[in-house]
Amino acid sequence: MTTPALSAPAPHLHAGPSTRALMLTVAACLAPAAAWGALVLGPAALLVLAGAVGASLLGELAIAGLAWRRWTLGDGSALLTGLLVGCSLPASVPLFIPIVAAAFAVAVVKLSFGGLGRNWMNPALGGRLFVTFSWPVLAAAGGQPGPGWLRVSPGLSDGSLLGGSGALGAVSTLLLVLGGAWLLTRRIAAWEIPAAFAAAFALPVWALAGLPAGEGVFRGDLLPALTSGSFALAALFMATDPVTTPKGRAARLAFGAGCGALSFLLRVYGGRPEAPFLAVAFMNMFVPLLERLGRPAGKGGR
Amino acid sequence: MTAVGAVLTFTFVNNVVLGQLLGVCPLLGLPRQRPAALRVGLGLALPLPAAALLSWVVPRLVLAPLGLEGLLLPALCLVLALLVLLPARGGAAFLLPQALGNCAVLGVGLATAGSGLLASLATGLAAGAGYLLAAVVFAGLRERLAAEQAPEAMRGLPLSLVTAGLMSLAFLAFDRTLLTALGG
Amino acid sequence: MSEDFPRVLWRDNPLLISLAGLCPALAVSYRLSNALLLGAAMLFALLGTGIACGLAERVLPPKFRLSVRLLVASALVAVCARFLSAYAPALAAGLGLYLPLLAVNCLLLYPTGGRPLGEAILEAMGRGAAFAAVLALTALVREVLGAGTVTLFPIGSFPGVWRIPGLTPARVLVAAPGALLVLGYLSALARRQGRGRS
Repeated sequence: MTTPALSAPAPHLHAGPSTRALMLTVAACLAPAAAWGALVLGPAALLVLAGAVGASLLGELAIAGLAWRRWTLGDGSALLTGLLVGCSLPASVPLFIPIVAAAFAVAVVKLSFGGLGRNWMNPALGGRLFVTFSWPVLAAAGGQPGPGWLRVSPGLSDGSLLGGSGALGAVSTLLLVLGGAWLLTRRIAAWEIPAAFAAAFALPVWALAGLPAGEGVFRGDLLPALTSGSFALAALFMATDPVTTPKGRAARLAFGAGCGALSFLLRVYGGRPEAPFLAVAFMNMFVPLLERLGRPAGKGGR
Repeated sequence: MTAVGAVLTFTFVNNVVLGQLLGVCPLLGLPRQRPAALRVGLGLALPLPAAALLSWVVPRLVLAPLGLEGLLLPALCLVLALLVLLPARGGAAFLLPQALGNCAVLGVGLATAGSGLLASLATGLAAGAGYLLAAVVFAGLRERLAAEQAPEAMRGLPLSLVTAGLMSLAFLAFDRTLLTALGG
Repeated sequence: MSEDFPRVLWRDNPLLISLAGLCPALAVSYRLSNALLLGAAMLFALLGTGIACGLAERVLPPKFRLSVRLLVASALVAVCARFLSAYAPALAAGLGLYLPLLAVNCLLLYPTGGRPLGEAILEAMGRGAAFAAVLALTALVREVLGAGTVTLFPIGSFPGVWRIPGLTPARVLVAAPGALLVLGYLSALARRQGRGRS
């Protein structure tokens, strides 16, 4: 299955039944990890997810529907955005945070530019960034949420719903990777981006992360980095969004590498758990430039 | 502030236009076509190190001997007022009134007053680099916005402002913590 | 004149429509008192440059007009800054760099008034008032939503800051991105208002 018309300059996605199938497929690939998070973390996680999805759907309904008479809920993008926002937030945040994040994502980052395919920044990331910097303490991975239905205590979040330390977080990451792998095999996500992302993230972590701790080179702790839920979510689901990421092999590799390197910098030196999200959002703004630079090498290759 | 710190600060942590909000007007007024935008962007960025240098030279070599220390603002404006009279022919986009008489130039000049020569120069160059970076990225995004598919009220200036706002939001990722950790 | 002001306020608002004087507007509008102060300074400078340059322009060739405006503006703004630092240093510190930056503000440097001096000055003051109004509105929105306060000037026993209970403010709004975003949407609003009116 190939993605619909992506070689047009704008919009970068055409609305239609194939778009809906695309959105729902991605959402389906994300769902297991979300469900696992809800299972482990209980009502708190469920509220975060519900709040985000609800606000996203309502926002799209209110603005696109009531104000512009364009009934776009059917294209599934609002659902996906809400789900992404929910999965990118720790479960211990107050309810208004996923709501505001999703509303910002839909209203400001997506609809202000004209809706699906016309935004340059990933909406979920824009929303995540807005709440990260507006309520730094509240939106941070602080505090441990109470145990959910499984009655086991998870570790501290790494900025995503159930990422971070502990076996439970690792399972969540595994589910994300499986979902992402499906997207890769179906050619919905371009492999160059997560590959470059992972390489540019893992290599510096391995080589340099030991330095701040005084351990020397090539002693970095790879395991927490690679099993980080926020990393998997960002690399497989956000950095692969066809609307806000470049086309062309060279551009995609460069984009992924930039995301990876920046994630490394922001996480190891900046101390931010949500580093991968910040990295991808930052790289979003370079997409037109990367496409220009990559263009001589090949014409819109996948 | 050390020279390295100045570079990191003015280019990323507190980007001259996206963080300190200096020189926004000319940025938003950039031409839409990328080649022209790049040329004008360079023209806007070049005066910044010059302004930093000027604000080092003028107080020490002109105002102090005359005992007029407090008149830095009028003095800098006098220089700008004279420069603006020069014809901006050909590629000298940096001599355009918008390039010279804007907040970024004066702002960088005033901000670096009182610093040492190296720090002033580093700040000015970093400010120029930061401005150029923002201008180049903005020009790229602008081309994508040119498709005129946004809601009518948002087209043009509002969307440019929102774009700049989102860029600024992304730049918030660079903060003091990162700066000190990287040894700035 | 009375029908003109609504036009200047919405359809042709110098700040929201024609981009004039963005930098200080963006930078100081995180606190209402800053905005009011800057608006007042702008009006003062507009009046001064309007009169001085209006008279000077009768004898000057067009080539020198911008330079003269720049010099007069910088002198007036320097006076303002000096005055403020002397009598209200805390307020001056709040404005920081951005008060002196009025000297290169497009609103001051590029007048659009008519030929007769009186008319030109009135037009300039009108634009200045529109500028100040938008500035104050932006500051109100940003401060209330971004800091949960409304800051005015200390008068008597009133400390000047009124804290709004029950709000968890969104910090981004009082920072640079907030300025750009809020102004962007106000600009869109002005567009819609302007279109409806014409």
